[in-house]
Amino acid sequence: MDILEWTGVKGDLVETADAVVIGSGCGGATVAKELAAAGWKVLILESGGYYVPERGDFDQREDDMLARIDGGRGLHATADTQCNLTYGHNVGGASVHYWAESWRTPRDRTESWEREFGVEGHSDDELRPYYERLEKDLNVHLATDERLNRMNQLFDRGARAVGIHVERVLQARKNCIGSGYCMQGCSFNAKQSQLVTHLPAALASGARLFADCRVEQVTHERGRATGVFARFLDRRTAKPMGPTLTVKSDCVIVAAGGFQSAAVLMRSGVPDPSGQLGKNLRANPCPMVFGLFNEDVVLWKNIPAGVGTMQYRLPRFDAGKYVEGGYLLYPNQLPPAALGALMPGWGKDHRALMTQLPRIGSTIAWIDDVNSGSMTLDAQGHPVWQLDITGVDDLICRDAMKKGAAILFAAGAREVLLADSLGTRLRGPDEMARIDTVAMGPGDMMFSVPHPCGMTRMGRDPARSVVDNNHQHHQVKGLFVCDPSVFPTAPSVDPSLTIMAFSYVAARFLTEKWRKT
Amino acid sequence: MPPPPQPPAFLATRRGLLRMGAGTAAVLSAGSSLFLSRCNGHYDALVPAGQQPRVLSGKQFAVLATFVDCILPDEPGWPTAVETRVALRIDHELAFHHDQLVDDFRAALYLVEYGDFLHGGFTRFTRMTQPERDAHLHRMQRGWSLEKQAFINLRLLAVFFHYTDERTWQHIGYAGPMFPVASRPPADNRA
Repeated sequence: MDILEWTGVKGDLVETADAVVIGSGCGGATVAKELAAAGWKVLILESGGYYVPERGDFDQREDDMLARIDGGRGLHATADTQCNLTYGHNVGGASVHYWAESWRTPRDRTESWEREFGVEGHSDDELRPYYERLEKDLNVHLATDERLNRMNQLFDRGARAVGIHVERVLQARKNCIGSGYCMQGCSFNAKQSQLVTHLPAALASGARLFADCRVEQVTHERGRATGVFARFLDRRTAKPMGPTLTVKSDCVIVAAGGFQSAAVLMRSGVPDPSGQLGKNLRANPCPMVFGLFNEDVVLWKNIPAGVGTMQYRLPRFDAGKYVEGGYLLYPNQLPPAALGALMPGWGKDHRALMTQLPRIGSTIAWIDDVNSGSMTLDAQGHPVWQLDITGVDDLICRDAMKKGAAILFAAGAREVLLADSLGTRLRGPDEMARIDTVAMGPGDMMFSVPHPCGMTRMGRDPARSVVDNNHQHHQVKGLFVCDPSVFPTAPSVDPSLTIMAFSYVAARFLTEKWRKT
Repeated sequence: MPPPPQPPAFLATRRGLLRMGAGTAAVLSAGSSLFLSRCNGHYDALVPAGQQPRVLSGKQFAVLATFVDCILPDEPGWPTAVETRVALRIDHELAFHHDQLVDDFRAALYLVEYGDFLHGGFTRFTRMTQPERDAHLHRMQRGWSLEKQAFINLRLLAVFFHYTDERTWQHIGYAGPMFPVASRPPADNRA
């Protein structure tokens, strides 16, 4: 396979390509695979490193893997630190650390994208053949009994006890042994990430991959893309090592992920007459609650979300007033140090909780955020993200925490801890109302935000969107975006299948029509 | 992509800790430079023996080490935060981040050290007794948004790095990875 890493870079490089793809996650790897299979000369650029279990890179340590595969080494947050940005920074992108749940975007969502935002060519019917292909290629199947850890079992029991519908969750795994290190990257290549699926396929078809290569700018002239300019990074320091890369190509595909693609376009000075570039950020904030059990739960074993509930996916309103819902609810999975860091307090109080770590259970919700955030660049060109959890999103988070706490109590938790800095403890279901008043602002509670989208949204109307329905920038021909940045809103489920299906749509346009236009 | 709650939201990025306004940010940044950049005997004594920061000044590192010691006090039979080199790993981690994030981190340390002044007191954190430090942190935890952000992020970092040290695992019921460590990341904050 043709992979260039930082150690192999000896000087400045100039390349030509039929298409240059910026990013190697679900969006970039999928479109690269399709273009390479069609005979295109494809160059994939990834700012993160190339890591594979065969070289011993996936050592299952939280600290090592955070440094290797997480954007910002786990330290990137929104401006007020309320939301921790969870994204990939490695070959394979976030698919290397994701949980492998595999949902098709619900029809109500693709219909609203079409109706409200003018997204065409991406309806449920049009995406179906791609979903079917993906589900086959990625071995998508319902979680099996042996993969359900104790937390999944407790979730199932607790949810049923309080009348919440529980269902098995579709998983993109093959020969999973349940090691429990999904978020650190699968050491057994069982999780069907891009690292073991679409990237090898792309490379086998002749695509080339440059890792440790950060794109500074997309170059463009007179409304047409002309290539990219990039710098190679020294993996020992995470800083530019000197050599640069210039790629000449009339087809530039930005797939740097929902947090970064808009930043690439901004740094490149692409026109933005709609004013939508860097706006409309949604990212599925994740409220968690923790339960103290009288038995071992061990949150870091086996797979994360083998079961869950879709019952509350859509929010319910009564006369315009929020009632409940607007999220998916799952059993949580956290490795020990991360779990420990989320336990409140310090000193002896915190240590007492740490001694009970295996007996701590948890639920997590993906909030289908209603309000949107944004991103701007600072003077040095670094992104500054803003995403506030307020208004109805605040209410949705509180409802998700209540449902999670109810499940934990019904499953046998003797206490429920909220994830606030003060460590609010509920002694029983009768104290649930305290969730209505717990402080959730910046510095009070932190939320992971793992599913960014929206900042280069798609649509028919150039006055309201950044890219058209072929993923092509409205004003710069030959510049495409193939990642969740094009979703007008969050898909309300895990976005990985949707990202890949959208990339198939883009690849089809590129291979069948674009060169002719 | 999915998951989740990868490790903690740790730190502030991008002017995050300074959101209270440009003016205040400027004062805090200047303060952190003026007051925490030079070392003296008091701060020297607080730096764990043999630990030399790469990014932080001696004073800043001493404040961080004192904060870490407060969050993770010694307990017989457990590895200490000095042994797990928590403050040093945090300092080394900062080397992999851009200047703005590091400036925010320094400002957070400044708030820890001089936060008492904001509430009418006159005692630096590193000069406080242990009960006073605990009280100070409790106040930060409930204080202005900026104080709360500084506290919650610094605390998260301290706890995370402490409990990624294998010497702590037997105490928390974690058996550790399935493999011996095969290769450290090139950009390793332990180094």
